This record gives sequence, C-alpha cells and structure tokens, in this order.
Amino acid sequence: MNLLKKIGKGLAIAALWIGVWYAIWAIVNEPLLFPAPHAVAKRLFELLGERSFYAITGKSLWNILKGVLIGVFSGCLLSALTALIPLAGDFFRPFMTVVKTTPVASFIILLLLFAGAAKTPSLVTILIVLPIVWSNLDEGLRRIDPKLREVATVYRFSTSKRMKLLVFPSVLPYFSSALKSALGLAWKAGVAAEIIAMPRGTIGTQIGNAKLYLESADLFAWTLTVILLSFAIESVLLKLLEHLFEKGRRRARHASV
Amino acid sequence: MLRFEQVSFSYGKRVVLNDFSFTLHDGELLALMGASGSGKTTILHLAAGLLTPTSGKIESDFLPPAVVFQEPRLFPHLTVRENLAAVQEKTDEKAILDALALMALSEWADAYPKELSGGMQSRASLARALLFPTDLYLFDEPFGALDEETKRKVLTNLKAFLAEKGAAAILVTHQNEDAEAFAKRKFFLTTAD
Repeated sequence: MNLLKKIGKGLAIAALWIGVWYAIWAIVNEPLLFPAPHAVAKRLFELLGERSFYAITGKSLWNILKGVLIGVFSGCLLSALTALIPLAGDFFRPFMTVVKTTPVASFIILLLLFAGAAKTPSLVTILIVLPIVWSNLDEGLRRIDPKLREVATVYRFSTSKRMKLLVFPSVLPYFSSALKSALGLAWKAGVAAEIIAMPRGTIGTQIGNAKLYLESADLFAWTLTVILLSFAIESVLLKLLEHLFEKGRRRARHASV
Repeated sequence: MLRFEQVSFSYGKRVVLNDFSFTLHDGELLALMGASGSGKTTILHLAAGLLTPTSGKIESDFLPPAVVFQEPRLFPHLTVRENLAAVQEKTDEKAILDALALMALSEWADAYPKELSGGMQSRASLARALLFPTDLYLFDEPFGALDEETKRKVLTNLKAFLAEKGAAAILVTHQNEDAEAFAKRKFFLTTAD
C-alpha cells in the first residue's frame, strides 16, 4: 500500500512537470529551439533502437566511472596520508582549495591542451571527485571521538581493531555523503568536458553536435539519457555501498566478539 | 610497584602537579582524594601513559593498566557484550558473562549503550576494565551515576575481584565513605598553587 502510494505520488509529480514542460513549449512556440515532451520521447526511443547509442553511452559511462573510481581511490589514499602526516595535510590543503574553486571550464581547456580530447573527461572527473572525497574523509577522521581514541590507547587496540571499531564507524557516514555529492558532480563535469573536448563517440559530443545543428530533440534526448544514467548509477552504487557498509559493520562487530 | 618521583605536570601555563611523589605497591588498593582541580584525574592519566610528565619520573612494574574514565566511554555502535569483548585479545565468553554478572548487568549483554541508564553504562565500563589482562586498575570516580544500593554491591564485588586477582588499584573519589570502603590507604591532594 505504501509502495503504491509512493509510486502514485511520484507519477503525479512527474505528470505535473511534464505539464509545465508542455506549457513552456506552448508559450515559446519554437519547436526548433524548445521541443515538446512527446518529440523528445520519440527521439529517445529512436536512439534506444540504434546500436551506436549503446556504444556512445558505454564510452561516456566508462570515462566518468573511471574518473570517479580513480578520484575516490586517490582521495582515500590522500586522506590516510594527511591523517598520518599533518604536514602533508598543510601541503595539500591549498591545492584542494584551488581545485575546488577553479571553474571546471578552465580545467577542461587546460587539460585539453595537455592531455588531449580522449583523456580530458576522465581527468576532469578525477579533479572534481578527489577534493570532495578527501575533504569529507579528512573531516570524518577529525571527528573521531578523542575520548574513544584514549580508550583504544589504554586497552592497546591493534591497528586493525582501531580501524574497525574507531576509524570506520566515524568515517563511513562522511564517505557515503562524499560519494553522493561526487557522483552527481562527476556526471555534470564529465559531460561538460565531453561537450567542450568533443572526444569521438561520447554523449557530450552528441550534445555538442545537436547544439551545433539545432537538433533540439536530440539535445534533450541525450540530456535525458545523462540524467537517467546519473540517477541509475547513483542509486545502484549507493545501494551497493550501503550493503557493503552494513556487511562491514557486522563483520567488524563479529571480529571484536 | 608504581612510583611517581617529583612529577610535575602543566596544561599550558596552568600547573596541575608540582613535585608530586608517591608509591603504589603490588596488590595495594589506594583511594585518591582531593578538591576539584587538584590533579587526581591527571595522576591517573599519567599512570596510564595518556599524558607525559613535564618533569620528574614515573616508573612502573605493572602491566599496562585498565582505566575506568569518569564517563563510561563505550563504543556506541557496539553492544555491551561487544564493548567488553573489544578489550580481550581472544574472546572469552565465560569471562564476559562473569564480568557482567559482577556488575549486575547480565540481562543487558545485548543492549546498546544508548539503551542503558547512566549507572548501567558506568557498570559496563567497569566490567570492561575487569576483562583487560592487567594487575593495575585505575578508577576515576566510577560510582558517580550509581544509586547507594548498587554502589555498595558493585564496591563489594570489585574488592573481591581485585583481592582474588591480587591486583593493585587506585580509586579517585570525592566520597570519604567510598574511599573507606575501598582502600586501606587514602591519599589527599592539595592544589598545586
């Protein structure tokens, strides 16, 4: 009953927004610039029937996921390093601040010059994900209860016990929230990099071309694809992480018993 | 034996201990008393190695001590049983159940700290200390949250446990009757300044 209510509510909200879209379409009255929802849906279904669609989305998906994975991994490594060596934290903090505040477009253009079109989307994604993961983990490590730290010291906890009972429980909520923000931004930045860099056979390139040739239905259909992919990946990854965290938490508890 | 030799300690400019000396013998139970800010907790933290003296020397033949802090300091994501097991190298379920029974907590083994009252959490913290393999126990006002009846029971059990083990202990307390009930020797601290 609850699920049905939830689905009903979701459908009603979606219908309302499609209504808003139709209203804007009617007001603008320029199908070349602003297509109707049914035209976009028709184009999306056409794309779904083409083999190249899957190759293109697969390539963009790989570009962005590769960037996310490398960004998360290096963010974890770096936060461990800066937790162990405070001087390293002082060294990296200005770099992270610069990376966070620099406009994404500047990075894209710089990387395009130095790394080429094919590598730019992944590299931009890394630069977006890394500071988010690092700063969140850094915060999580700082928030470890100093009183529980003393308990671990007094009772001579081994490194693995310290990690399981003290570090992971404090850091995991921060890691999870970092992933949530990083995944959303990774898609935005990764596709933006593809639009500017135009590497062959990617979603960004398709969006760029659609803009160039004023194929608004294509532009909207590819954008919708990005939104749906981003939503699906975020949901799957976060569910997977939640499952792994819960499993890890249970294992940590069993290991201590 | 635990020996403090002319130990001084300051938090920044605030001197807490000044040329403090005392000795705790094997198997001895000592009550440490004094006004707030006289350095009682600091002495326990120095003895536990959580603080380093500004000057002076601390020598100990004891194993690393078990400490019961003023607050229970239990891991919130672990049950009482898991909190106790955390201080053991290899889980000894019987020892855990014995320690819980000594602290009248047997029925709360699978509860999480937030499900316990303040007094129960203090007893769980005491039970955890009893499981740590040591011959020196440091108790920092562990009975503050306990009612009179429970306190008497816990004190009796604690003394019996320490006597059976032949372990030494320092009890920091403000209550003269607790000190009398626990230790033969009382040590009064005055403020460093």
